[in-house]
Amino acid sequence: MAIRKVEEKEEINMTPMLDIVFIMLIFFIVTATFVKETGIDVDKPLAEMAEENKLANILVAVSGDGEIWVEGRPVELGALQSVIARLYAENPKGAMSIQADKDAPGRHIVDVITEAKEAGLQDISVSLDQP
Amino acid sequence: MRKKHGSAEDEVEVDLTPMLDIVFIMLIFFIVTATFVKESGINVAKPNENDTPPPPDAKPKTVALTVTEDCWVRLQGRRIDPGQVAPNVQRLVAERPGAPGIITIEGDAQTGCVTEVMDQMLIGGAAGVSLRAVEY
Repeated sequence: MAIRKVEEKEEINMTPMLDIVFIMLIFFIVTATFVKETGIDVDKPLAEMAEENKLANILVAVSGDGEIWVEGRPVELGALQSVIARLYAENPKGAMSIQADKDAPGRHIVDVITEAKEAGLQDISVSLDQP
Repeated sequence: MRKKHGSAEDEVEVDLTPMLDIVFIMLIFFIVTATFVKESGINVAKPNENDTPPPPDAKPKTVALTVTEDCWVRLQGRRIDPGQVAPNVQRLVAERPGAPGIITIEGDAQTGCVTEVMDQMLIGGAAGVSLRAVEY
């Protein structure tokens, strides 16, 4: 009897674990968004009417002295349109969020919006913190 | 060649280990790269340049105001504080329901002022805000 027991393989039933692992895998694949951070931390203004924007994954930052940052490096206004067009092509469902510093000149936001519209983007928002 | 007896009893086991390895590696990759974007903001649009301007005698269909360089708001020729924009906009929106707001940014007006006015316009009931800039 004892000898027989050694021969029998003690198999753990893997099926429930596999189910869970697959569900987790699918969840993370579906929710995966590859965001390219802008590279600078801006002091965002507060606004009561700010709404959560889950689709925003094209991020453009405007620093306090009016520099435009995308993908971790500063970008000249003249080159911004092609950069945004490339990001938009990688992410056709994406929306753009402009992270402008409190002290940045407001007209730079308009410049960024103009370039983004030229690049074909429609869903553009200004990033604001909820109080 | 031994004839198998009771082959139905023999369970054909597929070795799941390599697949499990791959699945786990993928799982770990997606967990590590997962970034949950927490962006909040106000949607803006720039008024299209090729929009035909309304005839001058027609009733205005928008609420237009200007943010000046020294962080004041000019609305219908009056100078008001950015914090007082909401009630003024509310009054104008009551006259023209569904009117979107247009903010004109003058010169180097700061983003903080502009966003406060955007916020106030939406609180006042404007249907969306768009921005444009003018040279000072």
